[in-house]
Amino acid sequence: MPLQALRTIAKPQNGVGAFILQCKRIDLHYCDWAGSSKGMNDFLRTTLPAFAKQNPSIELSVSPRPGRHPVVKGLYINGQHKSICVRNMEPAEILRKVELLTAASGERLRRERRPVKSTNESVRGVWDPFHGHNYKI
Amino acid sequence: MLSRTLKRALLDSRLPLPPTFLLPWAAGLTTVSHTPEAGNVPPPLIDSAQHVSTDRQAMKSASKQPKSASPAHTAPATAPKLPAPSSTGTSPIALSQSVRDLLPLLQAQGSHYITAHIFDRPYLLTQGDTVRLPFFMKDVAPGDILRLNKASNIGSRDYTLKASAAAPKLKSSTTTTVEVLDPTSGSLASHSRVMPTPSPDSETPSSTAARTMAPHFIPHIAKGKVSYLDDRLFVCRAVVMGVEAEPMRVKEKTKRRQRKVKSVKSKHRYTILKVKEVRIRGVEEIEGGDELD
Repeated sequence: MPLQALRTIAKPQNGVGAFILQCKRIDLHYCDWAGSSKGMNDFLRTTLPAFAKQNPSIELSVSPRPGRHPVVKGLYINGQHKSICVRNMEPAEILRKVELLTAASGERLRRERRPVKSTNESVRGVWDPFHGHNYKI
Repeated sequence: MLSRTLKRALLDSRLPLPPTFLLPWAAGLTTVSHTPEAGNVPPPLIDSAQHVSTDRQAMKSASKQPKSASPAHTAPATAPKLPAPSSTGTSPIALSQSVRDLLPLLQAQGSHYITAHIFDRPYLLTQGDTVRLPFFMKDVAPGDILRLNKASNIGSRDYTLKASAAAPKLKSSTTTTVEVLDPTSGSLASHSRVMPTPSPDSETPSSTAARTMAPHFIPHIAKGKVSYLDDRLFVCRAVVMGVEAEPMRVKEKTKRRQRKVKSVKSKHRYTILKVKEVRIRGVEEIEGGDELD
C-alpha cells in the first residue's frame, strides 16, 4: 500500500505560539443618582483611562444604568459572561475586580485535583510487560 | 543501528550487550564530577521563584511590547532581546564524556519531557501542557513569559538526563560503617560492622566513604532531597495564561454540645501557566556559552 499522509488539522494552542487574552470586552455600568455608585464614578474618572491604556486588547464600554447598582461585566472568547456587582466599593477595590475579570477565562469555576493538564501522548510510551521492565533509570 | 532503537538492539539476543554507559535505563548522565573537592561543590541554588522575579520585570516589559503590536509578524523583529538567565555557577560547564556522547541522541528523539520544580514542587511537563499552580503568583500579568530554570530530569523515550545525586549530609559516623563478612573457617557466617580505615589524604573517613560512593538514590538518606540540573543545559519557558479561582467552599467550625456553628468561606486563586517550550541545548551551544536563548 503506498504511503499516505495523515489527515490532520493544526491544533490551536493558545500561549504556545502567540498568546491571546481570553477576556475580550468589559462593560461598566454606573448610575449618577445612586449612592452605591460613588466609588464607581470615581473609578471611571480616575483609574479607568490608565487601565485602558495598559490593556489595549480589551474593548471597554461605559454606559449609565440609572436606578441600579453599578456592575462590571466581562465577556470572554468562549462566549461566557462574568458579572460582578461593585456597589459601595472604593476605586481600588473596583480595579481589583476588573483585574480579576481580565485574568479570568470564561470557564466555569471547578476544583482541579491534578496540576498538570496535557493532551500530548506519553513521552516514554505506555508500559507493556515485554519491554524494558527490568531496567531502572 | 539507524533503523532500530537501542532498546530493541538490547533485546536482540544475536547482538552482544553493549557497554553499561550505552544502556538507556542505566545511563547515569552527569554534568558535574562526583568527587566534591573544594572547587567542585556548586554554590547553593537560588529558588526559582526568586530568580524569576529578577527577570520577570524585564521580561514583562519585553513581552508587553510584542503584545501591543497588532500584526504578529512584526513582533519578532521589534521585540527586545530577552535577558539571559543567571546560571548556577560562573565557572564554565564541564560536561562528562557520557553526556557528550548521548546528548545528541537525546535531542534527536522526537518528544521530550521535563520535571520542572516550582518552589521545589515537581511538575512533569511537555510542550503545550497547562499547569495550575497551587498558589497565586503575584506581580504577574497574563501574557508574561516565565523561564523555569530548576529541573531534575529531562527525558525522551529512551534517554533521561538526570543531575548527579547530592552528597548526603551524614551527621552520624556510624552510617559510614560497612558490614563485612568475618573470615571464619567454619560454616557459620559472621558479620560485623567496621569503620573503614582512614585514607592517607586529608579527607575524613565519613566524607570519603559516603560521598565518593554515593549512588543515585538511597531512599532513607536522600529522602526529600532533589538535585537539580544545570540550567544551561535546557530551555523551558511558560506563559502566564491567567488566574483561576476554585468554587467557594465553606468550612463549618463547631464543638460538641455547642450550638454555635461558625462558617468560614474560602475561595483561593491559582495561577495558570502554559508551557511554551521545552528544549535541550546542543553540546556546542552549551560549551560555547551562548546565553542568548
